[in-house]
Amino acid sequence: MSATNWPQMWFHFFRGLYRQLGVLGREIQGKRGRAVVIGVPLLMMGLFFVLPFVIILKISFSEAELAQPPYTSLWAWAEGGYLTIKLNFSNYLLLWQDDLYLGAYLNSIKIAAISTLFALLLGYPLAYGIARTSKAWRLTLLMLIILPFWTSFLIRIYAWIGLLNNTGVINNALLALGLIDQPLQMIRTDFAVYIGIVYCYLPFMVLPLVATLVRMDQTLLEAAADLGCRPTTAFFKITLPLSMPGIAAGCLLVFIPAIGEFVIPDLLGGPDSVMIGRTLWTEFFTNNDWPLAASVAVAMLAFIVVPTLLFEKVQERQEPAQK
Amino acid sequence: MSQPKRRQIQLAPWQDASAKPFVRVVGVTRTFGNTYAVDDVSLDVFQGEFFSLLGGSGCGKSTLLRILAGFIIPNQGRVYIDGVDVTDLPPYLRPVNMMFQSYALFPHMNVEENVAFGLKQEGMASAQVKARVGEMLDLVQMGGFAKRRPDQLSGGQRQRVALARSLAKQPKLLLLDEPLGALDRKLREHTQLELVAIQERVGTTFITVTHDQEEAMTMSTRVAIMDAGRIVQVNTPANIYEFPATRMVADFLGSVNLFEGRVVGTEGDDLRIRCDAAGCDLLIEMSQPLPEGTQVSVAIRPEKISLIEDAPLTDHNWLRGQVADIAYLGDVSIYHVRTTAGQVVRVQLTNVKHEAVQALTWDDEVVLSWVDTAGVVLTT
Repeated sequence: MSATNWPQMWFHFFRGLYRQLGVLGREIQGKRGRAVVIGVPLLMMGLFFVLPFVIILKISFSEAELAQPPYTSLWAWAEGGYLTIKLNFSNYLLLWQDDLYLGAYLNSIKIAAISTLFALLLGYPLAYGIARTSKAWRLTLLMLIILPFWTSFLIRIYAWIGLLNNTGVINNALLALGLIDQPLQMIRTDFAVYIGIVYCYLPFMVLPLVATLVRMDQTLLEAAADLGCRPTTAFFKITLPLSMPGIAAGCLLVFIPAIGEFVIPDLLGGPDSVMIGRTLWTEFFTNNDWPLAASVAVAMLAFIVVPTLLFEKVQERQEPAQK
Repeated sequence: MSQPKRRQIQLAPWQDASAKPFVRVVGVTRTFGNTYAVDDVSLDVFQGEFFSLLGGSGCGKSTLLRILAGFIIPNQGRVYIDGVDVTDLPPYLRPVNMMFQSYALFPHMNVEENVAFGLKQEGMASAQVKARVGEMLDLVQMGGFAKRRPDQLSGGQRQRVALARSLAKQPKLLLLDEPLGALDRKLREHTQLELVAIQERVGTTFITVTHDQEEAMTMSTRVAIMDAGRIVQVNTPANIYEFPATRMVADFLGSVNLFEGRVVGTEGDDLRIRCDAAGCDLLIEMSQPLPEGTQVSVAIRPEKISLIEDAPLTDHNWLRGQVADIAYLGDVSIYHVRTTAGQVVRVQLTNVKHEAVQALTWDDEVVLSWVDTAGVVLTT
């Protein structure tokens, strides 16, 4: 140990330093990577959801006026350097006081709820069948379920007009067969709205149900049969409770967009099937009352957020059982 | 590998010609596509037996069990349980319960509800159900876990709940599909004996499927060895181990040295077999007379061969070799001895002395020797 090996010592020094820098670099890179991964969707949400929502919220507290833009500003500079903020709650009061709006909300909920129920009753057997077929068939059937999405939503609703019209395909066929004397009034009724909503949103019901049913352990049904349970009882005691997360997901995916649906009731619904989406449209484009339209939108959002939160709760409760 | 004597004497109805079998499988065949999963299997199991179906994967043992449970309908043959033809009965009408390999506990029900499930299907009164569930949970020592959900239990606890659930309806026959397969080794050894104790207490006939020979030997009154959809041999664990019927059975159950040779004569009760690969003659007690020239295998278990220092004066049942490999397993050591003719023979010795003071080491010259009752002559 008399002569110190300087080159070797320097080599170790630099190698150690290099490694430390490498570790530090990876650390920073990791943190930055995480920030980017979280940040991009956060930015998207902020830019395209939070910011527009804040603008809508702001408009909902203003007053309508004949100007460009057609509403008053919330704040103004008063004499003596005061900043005055005027919050107009009359729009929200009107929503509560005028039967029209409350009626539209309740009607929206009713139509969305009934449509969701029918979508579930139709979608569950469909999903059950798809989940129980062979893998190759399952993929084919799922493709068929998604296939209508390749056509424009609007065109598919127009196609239903052609089917349900008094001179449409269904009525013509029934008349030709002699089953009816005069055309059935189907178009411009709630019935047509239900058909339109169920038809359009059925895939959103079927897909989460298939996902849940496919994941279910089939030996559980064997165990139930082994313990003396007939197939129908086994369905209600085992399959149905275990597919609850899928049912909840499917129902919300249908219910939430159905509440705010505008195109379907407008094209297929009658004059008395007033849904909130249509009311909003009227206030905005016909009456040109932006503040009132904005408050309708905010109230509708509140309506939708409540079931979403409920859904989250159900999911949370189901999660430990799913493990 | 010996069984407690008490059980042997108590339960030997298969030796009694007048005893009526409790479960009868008659000529059952089941095909999947072109493969015979179960191929013309006939089997009698007696009341109170702990019967094991043992075999490698794909031998058909699970299919046979599922035929007994009613999940698979056989293409041919009949299944009788307690004298009743159940071949066409669906699983929910059979007096049979099954413990699944994955346990198949209902994840949305707690322990109590799982055990009560079968009883409620019968329409039993709730007070009775409660009493029976408590009794079953005590039997498997899970009384304190009644309100837990399956995902809050360990593997061993889930296994107990599954057992309690399958026994709750007092089935005439309990089927167990790899009952201890998901447990770790230490827990498995403990649970094997416990399962036997529970079976003796409730007196139910058990049929279990396993690929673990140690498990089958520890627990069973009788074992059926299956291979390629057929039952090769049915007997008590000791009899199967000591007197395997075929090379496959001898090789599957434990390890064995097979000496290929031909019969060259008969000497008293023994057959003289010339084995060129080992380079010696073997004199082995015969189970059946065989003509000269018959090609046979002699199966000798590694623990039935001894290592001696000097060659004996006889002209048979010994050979010279060189230690090629030593596997030290703690309680025993396995010596791989290469004979002068080239065959490698496995010899198992109990380590009665400290490992360091054992004399044998690699490349030592040794003499292997055995007695005429050590081996079995196999023709198939």
